[in-house]
Amino acid sequence: MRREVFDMHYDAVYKYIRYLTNDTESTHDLLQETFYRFYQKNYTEHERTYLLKIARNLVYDHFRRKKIIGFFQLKTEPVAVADLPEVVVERNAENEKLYDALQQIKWNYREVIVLRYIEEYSVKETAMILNCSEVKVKNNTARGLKALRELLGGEEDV
Amino acid sequence: MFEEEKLSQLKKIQVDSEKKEEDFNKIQQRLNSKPFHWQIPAVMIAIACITLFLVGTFPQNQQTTSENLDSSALQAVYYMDWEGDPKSTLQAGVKKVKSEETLIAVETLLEQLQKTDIIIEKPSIDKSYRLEFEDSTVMRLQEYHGSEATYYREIGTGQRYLLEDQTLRGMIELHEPADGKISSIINVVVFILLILAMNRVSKKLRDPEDPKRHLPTHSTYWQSVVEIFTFLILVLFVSVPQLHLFQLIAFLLLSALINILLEAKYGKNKWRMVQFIISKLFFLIIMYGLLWG
Repeated sequence: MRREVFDMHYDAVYKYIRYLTNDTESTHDLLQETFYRFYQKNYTEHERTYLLKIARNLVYDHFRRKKIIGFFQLKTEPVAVADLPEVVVERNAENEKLYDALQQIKWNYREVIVLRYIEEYSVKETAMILNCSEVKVKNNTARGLKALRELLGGEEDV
Repeated sequence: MFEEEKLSQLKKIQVDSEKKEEDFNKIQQRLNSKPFHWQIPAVMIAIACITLFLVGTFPQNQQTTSENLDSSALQAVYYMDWEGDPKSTLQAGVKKVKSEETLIAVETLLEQLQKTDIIIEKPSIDKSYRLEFEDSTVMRLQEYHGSEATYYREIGTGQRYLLEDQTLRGMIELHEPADGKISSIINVVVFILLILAMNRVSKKLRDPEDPKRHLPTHSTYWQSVVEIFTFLILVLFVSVPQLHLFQLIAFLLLSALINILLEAKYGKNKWRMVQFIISKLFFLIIMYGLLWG
């Protein structure tokens, strides 16, 4: 088990899962599962890409499970509590509002926005992680930004 | 662009080093734990399932006849409501005559059967009987009520009989009145024991390091899917005629096996595996009480 891989990519994986799930407890569970699966496969190259791919699949599974259980309990998915991650350095009204809006946009837009602007991946890298075409990444980015802009009032350019 | 700038503010994140260390230790612990070799129990359970299923569905090779009725002593009588072939008490709804005294009474009644040519169109079958004799011959009768007498039709030969004043059902119920007390008490006791066991296991649902936090009941959503399908198939089982107990056990074993394998793959929590077994036992008790009680 290579500790340096864990240290090197921990922040990125944590941030990615945290922004997608908006749930600190689930984030740690999913993060542990991500690294556990990564170490089991023993990838030696494109480590972060593989880690984020695993994390994405796990988050998908997590939401699917919640959806199925919610359906059989005749409950609807609770609206994400707009609460900034406790670890964001700059905690101000503007960031709170932005985070709130990020949690409200569609899931496939949110993951593209997180990868492109928070994780700072290129369109090509994002497409590789999400296993889709670059055109789709570009489209979802544009739509995601538009949705964010509308949620933030629309008067400013996000 | 302005939006990039704003979103980039969210990327400045600081991670709790204690939590990070804890995450690393947990991953290391899981990686160092002994792998669960599921192949051996899987093969064993699969063999058990197949055996139980075959035993439950295997036809009994017994000659069906009524010719030597006089010379044969009655060994066993199985009966059930409505139409069917009651072969064993392991089948849902099938009852067996228990005492020698009742068997003698039934045998006497059989001698009183009078052959008849009366045909009742679309008879509503009230009970089905399977009578087993000493020389391994079997007689199957269907009982239905006419306006003046009770009629019996022998399956196989198609011969019809009638009985006046008395019925086979009446005779059996007279000698062996239905008494479900003991089985109900056993069911209730087992049920309470299972609730206590479930309660004990559910305590494990709490994270030992943070008792306020509930761990998810299932480690993967596939387990929820398996549970839901198990429940739906059990609902369908209620309408299956003469369901064999072994078929039910084989199905529940298979369902538990799938759950345990999923747990071995995703969560590796022994208490979850125990929980699955207990939940399947719950299903078994409920189904047994419902169909055999």
